[in-house]
Amino acid sequence: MQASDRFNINSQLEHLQAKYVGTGHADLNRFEWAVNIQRDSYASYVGHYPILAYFAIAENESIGRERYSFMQIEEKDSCITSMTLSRFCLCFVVVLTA
Amino acid sequence: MYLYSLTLQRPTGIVCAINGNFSGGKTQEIVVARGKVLDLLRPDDNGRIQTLLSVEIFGAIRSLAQFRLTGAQKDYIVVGSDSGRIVILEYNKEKNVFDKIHQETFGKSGCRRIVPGQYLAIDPKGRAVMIGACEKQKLVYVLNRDTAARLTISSPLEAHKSHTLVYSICGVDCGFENPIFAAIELDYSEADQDSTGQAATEAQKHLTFYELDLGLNHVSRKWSEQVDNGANLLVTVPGGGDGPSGVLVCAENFVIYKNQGHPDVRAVIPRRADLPAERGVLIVSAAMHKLKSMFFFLLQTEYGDVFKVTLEHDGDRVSELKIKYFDTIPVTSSMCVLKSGFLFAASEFGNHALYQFKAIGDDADVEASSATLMETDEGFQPVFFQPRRLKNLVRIDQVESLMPITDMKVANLFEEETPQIFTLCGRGPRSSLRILRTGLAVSEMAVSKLPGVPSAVWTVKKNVNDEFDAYIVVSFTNATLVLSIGETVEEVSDSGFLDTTPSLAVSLIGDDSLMQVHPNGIRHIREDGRINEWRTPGKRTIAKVGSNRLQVVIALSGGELIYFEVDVTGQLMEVEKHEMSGDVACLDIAAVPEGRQRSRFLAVGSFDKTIRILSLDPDDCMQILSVQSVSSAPESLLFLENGVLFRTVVDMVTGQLSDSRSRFLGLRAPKLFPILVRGKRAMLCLSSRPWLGYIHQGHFLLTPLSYETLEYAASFSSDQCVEGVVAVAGEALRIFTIERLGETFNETVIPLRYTPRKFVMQPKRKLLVMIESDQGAFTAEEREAARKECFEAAGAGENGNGNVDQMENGGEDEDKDDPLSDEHYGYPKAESEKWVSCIRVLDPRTGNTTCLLELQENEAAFSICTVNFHDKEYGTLLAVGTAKGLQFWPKKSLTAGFIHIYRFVEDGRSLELLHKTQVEGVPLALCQFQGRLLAGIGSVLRLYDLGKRRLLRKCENKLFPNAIVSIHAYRDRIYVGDMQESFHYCKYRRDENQLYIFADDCVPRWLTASYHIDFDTMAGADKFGNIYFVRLPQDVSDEIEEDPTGGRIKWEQGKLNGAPNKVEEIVQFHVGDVVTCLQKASLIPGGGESILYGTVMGSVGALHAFTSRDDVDFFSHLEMHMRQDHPPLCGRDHMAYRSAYFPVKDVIDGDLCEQFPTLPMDLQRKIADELDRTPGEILKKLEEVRNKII
Repeated sequence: MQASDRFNINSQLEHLQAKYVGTGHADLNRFEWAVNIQRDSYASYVGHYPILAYFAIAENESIGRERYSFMQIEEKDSCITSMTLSRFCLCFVVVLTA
Repeated sequence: MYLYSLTLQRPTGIVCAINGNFSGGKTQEIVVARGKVLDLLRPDDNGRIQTLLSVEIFGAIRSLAQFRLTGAQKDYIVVGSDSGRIVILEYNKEKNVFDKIHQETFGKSGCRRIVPGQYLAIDPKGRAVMIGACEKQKLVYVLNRDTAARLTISSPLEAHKSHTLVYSICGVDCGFENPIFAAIELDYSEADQDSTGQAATEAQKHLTFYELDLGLNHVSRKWSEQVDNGANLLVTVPGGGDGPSGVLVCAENFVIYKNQGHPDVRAVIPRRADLPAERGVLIVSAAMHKLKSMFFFLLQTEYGDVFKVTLEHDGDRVSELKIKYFDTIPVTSSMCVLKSGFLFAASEFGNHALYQFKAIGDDADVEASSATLMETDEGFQPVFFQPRRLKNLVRIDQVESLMPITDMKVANLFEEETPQIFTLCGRGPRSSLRILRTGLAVSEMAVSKLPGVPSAVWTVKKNVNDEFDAYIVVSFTNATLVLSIGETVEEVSDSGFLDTTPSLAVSLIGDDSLMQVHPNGIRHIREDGRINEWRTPGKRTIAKVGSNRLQVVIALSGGELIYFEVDVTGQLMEVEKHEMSGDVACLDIAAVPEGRQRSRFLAVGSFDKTIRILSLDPDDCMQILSVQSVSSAPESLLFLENGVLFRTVVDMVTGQLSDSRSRFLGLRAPKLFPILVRGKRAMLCLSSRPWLGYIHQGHFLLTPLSYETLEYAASFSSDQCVEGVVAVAGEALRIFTIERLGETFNETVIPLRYTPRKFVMQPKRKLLVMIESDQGAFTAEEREAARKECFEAAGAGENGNGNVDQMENGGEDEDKDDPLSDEHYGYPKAESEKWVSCIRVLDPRTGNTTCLLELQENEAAFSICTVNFHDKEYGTLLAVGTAKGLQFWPKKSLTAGFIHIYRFVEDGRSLELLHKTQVEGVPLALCQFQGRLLAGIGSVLRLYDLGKRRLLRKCENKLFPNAIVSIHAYRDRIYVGDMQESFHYCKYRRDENQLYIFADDCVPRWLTASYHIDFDTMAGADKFGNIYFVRLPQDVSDEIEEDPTGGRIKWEQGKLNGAPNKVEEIVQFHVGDVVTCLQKASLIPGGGESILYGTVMGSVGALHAFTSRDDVDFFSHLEMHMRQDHPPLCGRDHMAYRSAYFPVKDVIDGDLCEQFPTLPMDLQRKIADELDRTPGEILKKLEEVRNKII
């Protein structure tokens, strides 16, 4: 493989990376990875109304509040990994019993 | 195993709702998205919500918007879904369908971060639509008209901004200048680089205006300004000549008016006085109402309070923003203000409601205003208000909603013909136990006793043009009673009917004369009172009669048919006689077709087990056209537009019988009666229970009525009751109407106190025991105390304190002693670590709670089961798993978990605490196992025995990955469901007293429901909306059972950090809704069992196993053709939808197959041809499989 090809592939990757938000790259650190996972999950929760309702029952909040906090939390949380996971599991503890 | 999936009850919750004139004309309709179903609703003249159309779209609807092209009369619907496509629909009034006008693909399918579909915004002038994603992408489509006035859509224009979250978008009303869209955005690029969180806390939301330049066909960022960081919702403010333009930004605690080049106008949202200080107030739904001269907004907070927001403006300068408390209604997901003065409130949980405006809150006093905004050192000063009873709204109708179903069990506790479905629904104070019965709800108008046991009843009009019936005629064994219908129903004797003999038939004949057929003859009563009698020859009596408006056929005993016709002078003339081979069992004449002289067909059922169709044409009168043999002597016959109960279609030209269908209705021979339903002829079948056969949205439905056994019935129409039924049963005459056509179930509602979690049944005692718990609420005593305090304060306020007095101004006429119902206003919010919970014993028959134990000290119940311990000292006991002081956030913690053991006293009607045992985690699952109690406590499975003062630990297994949420036991096997990791199969070895995990699943499944199917098979549902079955391979199962010492299981190495064996997935299906409960049951007497499920969105569905390979082949081909020829309405690929998370396996989608009758006829024929069948046969097949389930 020639050097120029490699450059090409790299630049293509970069382009794809920019185009498709959330795709990983070689230098991804733990924080970025966690943030991406979290945003993907939250976007999915916000999009799937039944899941949102399910969380709302668990936390005894309105669905509107739940949607707001899923969108909001992305900026609030600094130590995302631990917090997020705890939140996921915990919601489920309640909801599963719901 | 192949399963047929069928939705029995469509989702009843609402995701979003819009209103507009979708059918054109003046009437306003509401389009609601119920997750995967799109409905068109309309309030009728009586203010009752009617469903006009309901379409399953096989996708998730996330947003809806309506728009109207300038000058047009009709609104279009834009749907944002998970299909990666924008779809524009038009309602076709003639065909009663949604027509897809445009479908433009812009991205991948699924609810993804950067694929638009989450938000929709419309230019108020209908020139453009913006569709946005949660992040980055926003697309603008230009809408226009072509020369033929058809709607056109442009290619998309991008308004993307990377590293940006979007919270809300809306159109800005700027008249006919370039369309502008507003968005609340947040740039997170800096926060992402900074893992300390410093940048994240400093991130600032912006309000950005995007301008679509129609000339350049280009979207540009026009203006961007900082906005409150709590902003979550945008509402369009009317512009052009109607208002100041701009947007309302709803933020936590504030409503802010913003526009380009205009200073912010901000007002605080009033708070309830009892709200904890750390909680904000968020607007969750909004509606704008525009009249000619003014406009206002209704904003609802997350606590249910609706505020009216008005803007004081001079031209485009806004001087003041006023917020006035309007009313409190249950929290909605959408509100629609209709032009006719109605408010449709789509509740997020529980029943939806239609309100009428009594007033629009025009009083001058307002709670909060931008003019009185006070800023202090700690921020803006809050404003408080006290919720009061409805003042401006009055509720006129409700639409039932089961959302969310938290638990469900099917049993025949009431010993009725079919089992009842017991569902726990709702949340908090609006929660309820709903008992669902298959059948249509009936509302009884009147019941009156008669002097004897009647044998038959008819209603008759005096003139063919009359709107309402004139008489009810009741026949007894030896007399006839005539009742005239007016303001009241009274007996009359001047009607001309012979009252000393029983009657066989009474009807209107000709245009204005009445006919009474009695065993000895026919009495023809002319309008002027003249009476003609026709007497039977000799001693023969009339056995059966069939008639329509112009023709009468009587069957004499012995089997002779005599045919009469009404001639031009209104005389009844004998036309023909015909000798049948034996006695006639039943007969009927089809109704006279429009514009004809007579009906051509007479159907005669004989005791020789045949049905004959005879001609009544003058040229081949009484010729037999066709014969059909049936399995037993027909009891009753009825011509319908298309069929009878032993449903057979009569060809309109040849009179040939075809397409016969049969259905078991009950234990008694059915009788059929024609009645009117929504102006169309339908049939009522009376067997051991009444059934109604009618056409609903293209489907012929035969549904039981939830009513008593009836003997005889006739349709009934009067001033008070336009479309009713009069029937006789026992000694009573009953008048009733049939409500909410098209429903599968009718429900009995028993209100509960808190969110119900689980329940168990005591089938012998016919009692239910349920646990209810709510987070963040005060206990009953605290609520009572707070309420008392609040009312006292309000009382004191009236005596002096001016500030409170002002707020209570509107409420002086209220009865102060009458407390506000929690059901309406919700429980006051407490800190999130506070819990309330109760255990309830309920008698579902009477709806009485026989015992209610409110748990104390922050304890909440999470699991329940009945258990019989080895020593039979106490008999059946009740075990309840609770947690004390449970907190989820910021870190999961609890003070302690407990397992309570209760004894049933007073014949199970009451509970007595035996003891409680402290455990280290939340006991989320309990199950009886071999005379002991199995408990899943966190990730530990533990076996307990009953001790005198507490439960005694016997053995445990700590190897479960996360948390145990379900336990099922069968023989010595235990099926444990883990919260994230699907099922684990365990075995208990009594001799070693140990629990082993010998098999588990290789797919991580976040279990939400589970059910034990057979020894090797479990059914489960996960939080993403999938239902799946797993089965232990037969050889593995045998091996495990044959291992006498159990040594192999004990020492076998695990695979992939799991158990040594893996279960296989045998069934997989994406329901598209979070399934919360699974149950195996049969809903029809003598029918096979199916798996029933209930979901968060309040739908009930069934999975039915096919019994023959032929059926599997047929339905999989039908499904395949339906997929190809009838792709889902909102653009999602059907196969991809049903395989959204895992590929669908061995399940045929009945909901798709059932759309077959809605296809155009030529497409139906094409598909039928490819399946080597006729469309009729396919319909029959569909009906057959449905009848096996329900």
